[in-house]
Amino acid sequence: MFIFERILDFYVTVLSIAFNLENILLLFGSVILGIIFGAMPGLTATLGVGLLTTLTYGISTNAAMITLLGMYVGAVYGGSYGSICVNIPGTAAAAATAMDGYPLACRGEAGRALGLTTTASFIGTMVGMFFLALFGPLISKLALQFTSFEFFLLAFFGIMISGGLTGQDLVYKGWISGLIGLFFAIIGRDRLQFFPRFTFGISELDGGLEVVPVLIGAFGIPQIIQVIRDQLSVGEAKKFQRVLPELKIISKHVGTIVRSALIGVGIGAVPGIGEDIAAWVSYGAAKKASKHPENFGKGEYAGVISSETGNNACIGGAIIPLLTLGIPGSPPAVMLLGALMIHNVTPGPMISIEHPHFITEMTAILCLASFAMFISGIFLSKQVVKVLRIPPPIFMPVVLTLCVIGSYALGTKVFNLYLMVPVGILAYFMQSMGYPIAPLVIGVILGPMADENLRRALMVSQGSFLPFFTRPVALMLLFVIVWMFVSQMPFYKRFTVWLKVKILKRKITESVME
Amino acid sequence: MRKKDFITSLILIAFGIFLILYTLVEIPMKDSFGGVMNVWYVSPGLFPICLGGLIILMGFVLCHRAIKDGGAKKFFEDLSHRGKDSSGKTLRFLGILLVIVAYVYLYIPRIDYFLSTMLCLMVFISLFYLDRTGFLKKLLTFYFAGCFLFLIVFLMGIDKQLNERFLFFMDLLVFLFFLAYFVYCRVLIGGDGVLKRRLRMTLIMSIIPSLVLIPSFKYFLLVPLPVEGGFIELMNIIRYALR
Repeated sequence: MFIFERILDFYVTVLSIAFNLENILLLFGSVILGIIFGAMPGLTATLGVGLLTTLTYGISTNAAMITLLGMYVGAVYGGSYGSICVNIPGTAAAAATAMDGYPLACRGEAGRALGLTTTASFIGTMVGMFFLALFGPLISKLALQFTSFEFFLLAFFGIMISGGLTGQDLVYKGWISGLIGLFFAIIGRDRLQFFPRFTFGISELDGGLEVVPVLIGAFGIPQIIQVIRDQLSVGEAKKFQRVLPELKIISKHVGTIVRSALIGVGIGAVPGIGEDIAAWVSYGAAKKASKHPENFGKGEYAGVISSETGNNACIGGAIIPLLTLGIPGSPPAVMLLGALMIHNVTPGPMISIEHPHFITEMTAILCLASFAMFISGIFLSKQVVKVLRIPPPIFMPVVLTLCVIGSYALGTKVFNLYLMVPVGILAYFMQSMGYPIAPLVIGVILGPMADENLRRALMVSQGSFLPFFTRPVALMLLFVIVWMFVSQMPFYKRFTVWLKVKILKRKITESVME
Repeated sequence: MRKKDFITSLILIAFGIFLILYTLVEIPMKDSFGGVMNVWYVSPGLFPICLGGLIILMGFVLCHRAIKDGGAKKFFEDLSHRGKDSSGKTLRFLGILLVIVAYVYLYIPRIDYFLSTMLCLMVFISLFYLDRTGFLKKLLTFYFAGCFLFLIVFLMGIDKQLNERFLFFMDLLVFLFFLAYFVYCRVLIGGDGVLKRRLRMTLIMSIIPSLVLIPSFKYFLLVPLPVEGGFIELMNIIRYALR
């Protein structure tokens, strides 16, 4: 009965929002703006939601949520445009999409790739919404089981997995990249005792390095330099027949879609882990499950589908802890939290008492936003692919100005630009030596989480490392991290070869004896 | 690649050692800070030390691999023979670097944001869109000379004196530089029809994105721009006249 009432309530809310012209205009406007924000390198979902928050002071809470969720959904999806068309992920969440999206664009299948990402993002968002509506409290309870020990290990796990997946030359180059990202994250005053670390007396560094300029610098600048320096073509804009993906491809990847959506929701529900990790983990899982993992990175449909389903499903997941615990599940959700507070809505366990219909309203908005995103995406993607026809010497300078204003806009600090350039140049050199950039950015995002939780955990255990081994989830994470590290070491490889030879010898001896 | 890995591994080891030493010297591990008595496991130095250790470890792993694959040998062999890049890639790289560095460090903090962006776009597009042999070097030299002069003006504080005497004087000087650069491009092109069309496109593409981007951020997203000089003041006048 309770579930039936909730479903009925949900449909009534959806219809009441959908039959209001003002709401629909706001929804489509913000989704399209979100797609543009996400597609433009340097303008992230976080920045979009943050900037739009300042414009929602004067409107009702309901209209503000329509605008901000529309922007959030649109921007997370829009990131794939940059990844596919120019190999510059519009957002960190779309970095995994670039792995296969860009090779597809180079093959002249940009339209198909965009159609696939649109459908995958739509399905992902819908699954996220479904979980938000029905399983929110349960997932929040599970996420509540995580303590500082697990959060510290989870941060490391995120870096290890993204490094492992992106390191094309050597896996540990990805990890090195992540460690450099972690170093960037510790610059500034530490958040527990406010002690300045590696600031060298520069007061602007006291607040730490902001993620947006690092993200833009690390992804945007190397791409600009590489395309212009090597006189690369960003991709051939071949004409495409259909933007809607063939049902054949979609039905062939149902397993990937379901798996990625579940991963996305699960990761989204864990506070602090955002769409980027969801996309990478989904991508990694798809690669592992694939019969042809060697095709990943060369334009595999499953790669594009998995990352886009994962990152969009993460939105619903990220809203679960935001609404029920008051803990944002991702960086854009942090902005959403600020916006909710501006509108006198305090998320947390009391939300269902203070605002009984709020979770249903958010679910309904998310549902409508995913429809708006699908419709806008299908119509816009054909136009966006035209970006490929612009000669790189014209397009890349425009991208540079977007990167600059994007880095500057969030904090309105010129110092952010001073940081963006050296980070970009460093990233360019790292990239040219085979170091992937995504783990560096993930290191910057997860660094504070790792640092604070390590110290908090040790504070709780009075300096004892024992809980890392006695807590089941922590032990499991620790085991996976150690195994990932050891499996790449030369002695482990030698050992496995030795073991295989020994087993083979024994088998031969046994067969000879027989 | 392994030669570069060998160098990188050495840099990583040195960086890891620096991280640990800096932390041990500058960050209190056990002492009192801000009236709070520290224990090692809550110290702000704990994570940097762990990080330094991990970086050193990864440095050694990379070094081992580089030595095994002959990267170290190649490095020492190459120390005596250095090749010269003849593909022009270095010049292009330097060109991009000059444009970005001048835009971010020289113009944005001091000159009207619209004008800085327009100049950056003009130079960046023209350097690589007007691709004829010798053009890049000539245009780069011209732009570098202009930037160098502005750098001297900024370093000596002449810009502040000039702006105090005449409103938006530095903006006017940069605008004149923009025009001079455009004229120089036109002179270099001569009668080449294709390049004439490309230069026209360069001019359009240096103005239109600036005209779309800057008002959007300033008036729609309400982002205050780094320096709002003569051009943005003109935009304000037009906007308020239209309202």
